[in-house]
Amino acid sequence: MKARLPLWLWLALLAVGAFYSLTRVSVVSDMAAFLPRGEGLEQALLLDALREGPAARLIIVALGGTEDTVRLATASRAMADRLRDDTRFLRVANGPSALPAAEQERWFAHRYLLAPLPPEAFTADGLRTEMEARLRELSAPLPPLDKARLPADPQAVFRRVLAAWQEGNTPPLQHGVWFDAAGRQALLLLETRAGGFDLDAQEAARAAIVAAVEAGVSVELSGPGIIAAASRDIIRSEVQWLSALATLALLAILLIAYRSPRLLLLSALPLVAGIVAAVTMTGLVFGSLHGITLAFGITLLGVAIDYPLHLFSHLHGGEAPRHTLRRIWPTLRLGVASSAVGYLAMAASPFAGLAQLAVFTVSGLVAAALTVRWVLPLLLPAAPAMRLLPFAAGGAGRGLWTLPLLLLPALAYLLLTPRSLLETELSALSPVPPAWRALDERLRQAVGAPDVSRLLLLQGRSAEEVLQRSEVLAAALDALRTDGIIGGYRLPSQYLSAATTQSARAAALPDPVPLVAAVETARQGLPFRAGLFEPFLRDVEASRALAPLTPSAVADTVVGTRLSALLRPHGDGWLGLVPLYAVQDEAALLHWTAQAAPAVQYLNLRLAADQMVERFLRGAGGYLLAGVVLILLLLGAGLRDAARLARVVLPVLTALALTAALLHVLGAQLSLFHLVALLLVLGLGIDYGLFFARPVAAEEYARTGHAVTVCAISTASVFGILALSQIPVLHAIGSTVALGVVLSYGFARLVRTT
Amino acid sequence: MTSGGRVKVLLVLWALLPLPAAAQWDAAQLLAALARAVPERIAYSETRRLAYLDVPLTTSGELEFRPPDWLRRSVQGSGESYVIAGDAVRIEGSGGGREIPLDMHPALRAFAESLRATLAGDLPRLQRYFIVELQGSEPAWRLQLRPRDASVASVIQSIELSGDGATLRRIETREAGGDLTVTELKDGR
Repeated sequence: MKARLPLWLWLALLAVGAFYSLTRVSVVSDMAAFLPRGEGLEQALLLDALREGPAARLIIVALGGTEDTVRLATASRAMADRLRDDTRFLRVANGPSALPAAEQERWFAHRYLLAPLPPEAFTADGLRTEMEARLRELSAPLPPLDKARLPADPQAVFRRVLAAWQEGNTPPLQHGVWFDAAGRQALLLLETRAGGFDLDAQEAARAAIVAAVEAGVSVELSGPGIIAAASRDIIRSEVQWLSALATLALLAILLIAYRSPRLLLLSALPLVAGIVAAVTMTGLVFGSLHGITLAFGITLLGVAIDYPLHLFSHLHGGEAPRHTLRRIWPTLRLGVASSAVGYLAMAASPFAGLAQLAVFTVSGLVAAALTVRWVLPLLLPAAPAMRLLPFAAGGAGRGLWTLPLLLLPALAYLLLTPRSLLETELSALSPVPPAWRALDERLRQAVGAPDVSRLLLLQGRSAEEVLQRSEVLAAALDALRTDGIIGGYRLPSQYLSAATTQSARAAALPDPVPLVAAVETARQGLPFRAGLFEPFLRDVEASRALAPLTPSAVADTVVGTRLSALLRPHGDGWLGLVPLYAVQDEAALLHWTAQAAPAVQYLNLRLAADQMVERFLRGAGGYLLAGVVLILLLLGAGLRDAARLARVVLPVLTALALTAALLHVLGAQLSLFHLVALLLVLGLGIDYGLFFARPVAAEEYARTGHAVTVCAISTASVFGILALSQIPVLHAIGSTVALGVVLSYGFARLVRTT
Repeated sequence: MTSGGRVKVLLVLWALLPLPAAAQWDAAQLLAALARAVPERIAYSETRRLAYLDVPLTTSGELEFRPPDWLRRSVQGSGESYVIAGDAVRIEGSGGGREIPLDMHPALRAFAESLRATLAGDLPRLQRYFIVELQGSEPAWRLQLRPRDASVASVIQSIELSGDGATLRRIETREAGGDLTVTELKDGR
């Protein structure tokens, strides 16, 4: 009974851990949480933009599938009508759209507060000029479409208000709706109410769009939320069939190798215990678990599947399993310890993601090793009759000197290649298949969706202060545009003037008596009917008493939602975003921002995002290197033999360098995923080296050969299957590990002692 | 007798011949005839009676049409001209030019097509924007155009083209709000 104590203890811990993992540990899937935590404004904005911003809620729809553009235009209108009734969408645009009528009247009533007017606007001369212009318009062959507004707005002030809201570059029109430049697809721009990372809502939006497509018309759609939701689905289905295939392959290999269903079941126990322990520990330390940690961590724990295999292969009839274990335990322990020490260096990293990953992997590996040490021997038959396949007994004893011949050129290539080694684009971290990214890029270009990656930031204590500063900035930005430094800009104050400005305009409106006189004088000799401009006089008088519109008062309007994208609370204050279009001369722009008044900050979001990833990668690289040094020190201390140390580490280091070089030669840039995969190869390769380098008798030697060979074949097969995936993450990890394991195994075998 | 009988039959046939032809005379035939006979330049004068004004506005100028879809309207005196070509109208004046896509507003498109499609004899295009109704007879016909689209109808109530034979003489445009524009076309040949 006492002998069984470890088993009961293990079961109890497993149950508690599993309960805690399933009930208390929440998995967060926010990409931003995995990246380094910074305090900078830039970063806060970037993360905001990644998560909730209006850019993340955008959906671009392209209708095609027929040459008949009239039919496509009709389909576009029908879809827009249906989706406008759908509360899931904030905005549905498919062409030059008038504002909703009710909203238009609200803005019309405030026209004298919203539009800047020249000082002579209300003098007899100023009014006369405007009236003559209206008369010319009335006699033109194409009558003005806003003719009904004339009696109340003879100066056409409302046109100025509307012109300020005009979006810069819209797609070309055909039959009244937007088309791509080639005129083959009708385009619609939608904005969902739900955030871009509310994947269920995005999926529902996608379904609603597809359901609104007329028969015979094909639809393409893209947008951050749509891509995120769809990639979740594709990852789910790929992971399902890939893991099913990999599991089958693993089962088949183990069954062939050991011919025992019992061992097959037992081989899974250390991995299960490792995962439970890893999730539990990470949850205890960090409070939550990142989805990426979970995915990468389980990948890294794959090395734990090897631990029981070492035990199984070394079993033989004449010996109790616990004695077998005792023989291999020092070697296994050194392997586990060296892997764990390598990851421990990462735990000290300030990058939240790396630290989580380290804690996850170390606790998982330790738990798996302890399971092999204390639990598995109790569950194995007392004196198993192992029938090992006779492979892998041979080996060469020479050749350690051959490894540097491969290692050095590979290292030289990695150090000297002119092409960048690291993939630093944030988009490369995305699990989206490249074809979707290409579609997204194409649709974005077609609609001329503003590139919001370059912008100026304005800060203020209140929304009003930001709007005031935004107004001041307009003149300077116009000058930059005239000088060709920027192609264009959009200021928050173009949507809504500051309250002080609005009040000043209201206060500057003329008294009724002089205005009546000015209108009468202006009308002299013009054919306008007497009394025609009564509504004008009434509206001017009413405007003098109007309170200014504030951002919160117009939040429910179309214009208000556009304003809120550029004007938002940040910390204690408010932030104004000024998107810049077609920045031609970044240096001149930076020079200007350094001395601009009011103070502005220039921000290149794409660059900032890429720099963040680069910092992360370089940080990760540094910690990996520190980990490798720690591993070498530990192995040196454990082996106390320089020649054996070389036999253990040279094969795997050569394999790592060669794998990285080969992947790079084949066109890959090393991303975070490749680094994680190389880390796994390191752990596996050290195990192979350690076992091959044990000084043992010939019979035991064959068993070790069997153990390492089974480990290598199973790992290479599982990850080779993963490499079939079209998802960049899975493909990168799969191909790297499969290649690295094959090379590690081959090199370790090449230099084994006899 | 035989020959007299034949003559009679022939006479009856001759008398009958124009009858089916008259019954078949329809909008398509009218438009085809207009398209065949359209002169390159047509002088026009226009009177506009507007609710806002005490006196009617009168202008005159010249229409120039190149089939199938190029139409210029030069206004005398102001130096302005309006060129409808393809899917845009280009307004040229003393202060430079600007181009407006016809699809900026459905009324703009309908307005442009009412004249351009008529001169081009393109009934299907005309019918895309208007309900077309032909009244009268070939020597004195009236072609009523009423907008199909509600947003067009809120600007243009109806357009009536009238003329005789293959000549377009007069266009009456009734705008919403009661404004009436009468355009008289003079034979430009």
